[in-house]
Amino acid sequence: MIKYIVSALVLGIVVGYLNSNWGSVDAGFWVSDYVFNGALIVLLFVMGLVFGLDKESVSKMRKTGLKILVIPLAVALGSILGGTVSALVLGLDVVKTMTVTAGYGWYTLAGPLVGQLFGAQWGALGFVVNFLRELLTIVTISLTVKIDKYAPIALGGATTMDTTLPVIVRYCGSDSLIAAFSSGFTLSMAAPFTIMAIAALG
Amino acid sequence: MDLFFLRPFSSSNVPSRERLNLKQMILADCSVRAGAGFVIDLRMLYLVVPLVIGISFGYLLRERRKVNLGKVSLGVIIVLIFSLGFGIGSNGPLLRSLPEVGLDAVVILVFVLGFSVVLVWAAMKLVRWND
Repeated sequence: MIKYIVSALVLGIVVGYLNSNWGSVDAGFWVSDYVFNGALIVLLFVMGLVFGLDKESVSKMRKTGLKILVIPLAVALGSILGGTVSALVLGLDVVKTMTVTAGYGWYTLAGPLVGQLFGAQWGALGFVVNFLRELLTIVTISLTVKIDKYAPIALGGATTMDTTLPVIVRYCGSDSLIAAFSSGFTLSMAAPFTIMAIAALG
Repeated sequence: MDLFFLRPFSSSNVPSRERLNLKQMILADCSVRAGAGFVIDLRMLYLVVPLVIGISFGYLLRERRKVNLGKVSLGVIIVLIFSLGFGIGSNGPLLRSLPEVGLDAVVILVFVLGFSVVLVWAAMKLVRWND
């Protein structure tokens, strides 16, 4: 299954690249916004349906309850801590690197926002770090799911409420739906604040 | 086909080359101030709605019969991932910055993902241990 997903991703990148250079702007916008969101809404409904139908998932979910919120907290801490350590290793500015990693994979936010705060070069880093995070979550899912059931959710960060959610549910099972969605949702809400808050430190 | 139900999220006054993605638009034009500089984005909830409707339907249909949606969802996943790739391929600034900062980005990402996975693993261990 992963080969279909990776092929679709690569094909999408190639077609999107060709279209943005020689094709129609409106067609491009239509695909990357309307088709994307239409598919996402259908998938969320279907995943919700499968989850609701499965007695086991619902009872597992009830058992864990609000404790599920430790996941986004751990991901946020891990991302910012990872930013600190990697900045020290690479000899980069610690605060600026932390703002980059506080995008939690949401590259269309982190890129422009960090760029606005610290200039184009940091914006580029914000773009690429978070974009690769999303990409790696999808491409490596068949491996990471073997490490730990929640590892793909940790990798996905803020993207687990939309782009990477269907792939995660497919691999980790229906009972991971609420854990993944709530983690992605919380981190998406938190990303702009944490970026701004960390930027205020520097 | 008129996709009027998706339209509220696109703003026509933004020049097409510079169009923002959905999440950014939500951030840009629909937010509620909740004191102390905190801003809550209400439209972020647009993805919660189909999820909650789906779960309710599933819950109600539970006793009826088995529904196999595996094949359906793989098809839609492919469409979603294709359009995700399409957005990436169309993102000129992103593609241009890849060779510039790619190596630093990979090193940063290794630490970020490592720490995230370990902390989530430890946190879930702690939660289960308390049960």
